[in-house]
Amino acid sequence: MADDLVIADRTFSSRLILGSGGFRSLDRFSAALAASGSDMVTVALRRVETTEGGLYEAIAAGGATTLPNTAGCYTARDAVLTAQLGREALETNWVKLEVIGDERTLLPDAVELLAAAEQLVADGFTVLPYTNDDAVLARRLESAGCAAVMPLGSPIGSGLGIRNPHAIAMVREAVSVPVVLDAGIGTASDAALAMELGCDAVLAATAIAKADDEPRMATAIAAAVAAGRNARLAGRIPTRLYADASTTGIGTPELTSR
Amino acid sequence: MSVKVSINGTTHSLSESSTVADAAALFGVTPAECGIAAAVDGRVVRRRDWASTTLTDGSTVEVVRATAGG
Repeated sequence: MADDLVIADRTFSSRLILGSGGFRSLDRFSAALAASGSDMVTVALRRVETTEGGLYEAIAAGGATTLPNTAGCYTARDAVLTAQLGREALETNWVKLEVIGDERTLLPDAVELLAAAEQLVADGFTVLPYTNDDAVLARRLESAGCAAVMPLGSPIGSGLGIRNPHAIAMVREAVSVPVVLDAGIGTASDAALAMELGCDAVLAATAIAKADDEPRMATAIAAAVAAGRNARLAGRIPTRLYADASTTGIGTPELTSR
Repeated sequence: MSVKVSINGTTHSLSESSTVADAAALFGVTPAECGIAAAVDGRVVRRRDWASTTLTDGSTVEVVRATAGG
């Protein structure tokens, strides 16, 4: 049975979104994209002379759509203009909105992020903001008209996984738009946990791009996303402090005299 | 006459009535190319308008491409 991801007016067959940064080559990116089964890839915008062409074509060849992002923006003003450049470059009004506060942590600047989100929604964008694992901010972003929220599990590229699962669960409870776990994924189990916590999708970049065997890690994370999704939908058992025997005590034979 | 224009952070001296298309051509980029966009003085110039948008003295041009990242 199809269990598609729906964000705004679009449907995606995969719940794994691939970041395009950090790959060793375009060929290795393409191999990872194929293995991931992802149908959405996020891309950055940089001055032409510092970049090489071919990524857009590679994403299209892999059957995925491009999601321009505003990576590297520190102010709402820069993020809005970068989103508009992305719309022009890729002919899409979707944007993964990133407004970071400092270079060391790459954590979102909540104030600038919300301001940028409001401006972009007003300009007709479908906005997917990279945000803190903060349920209140997530609710503010949803109220501003964002089509999804993308809370971080831990800092970008850290591979630390989900440092505060409770906060991600609260984000899930706080909003009705899709929640995409973004940033911090280090390996497959992190992606499974995100989905078990109720996230609708996972974005992975560095975890795949910097793995020794990129396609194999893409395969592993895709499988983990599917496993976590199934576990969430299946309804896990509650945790308990003490044991709960799965075998009845009734009929236990008395084998030695007491 | 010429105009001094900042293009991707470098000042260039271009002939008067140079356009955004001329600025992009410095990088071998044409408006037909996928994944390219340009802004002048903080405003996006649609690709179809590159050839008709002239640059004035002191203009700041950014020509960007969708690339790996994020």
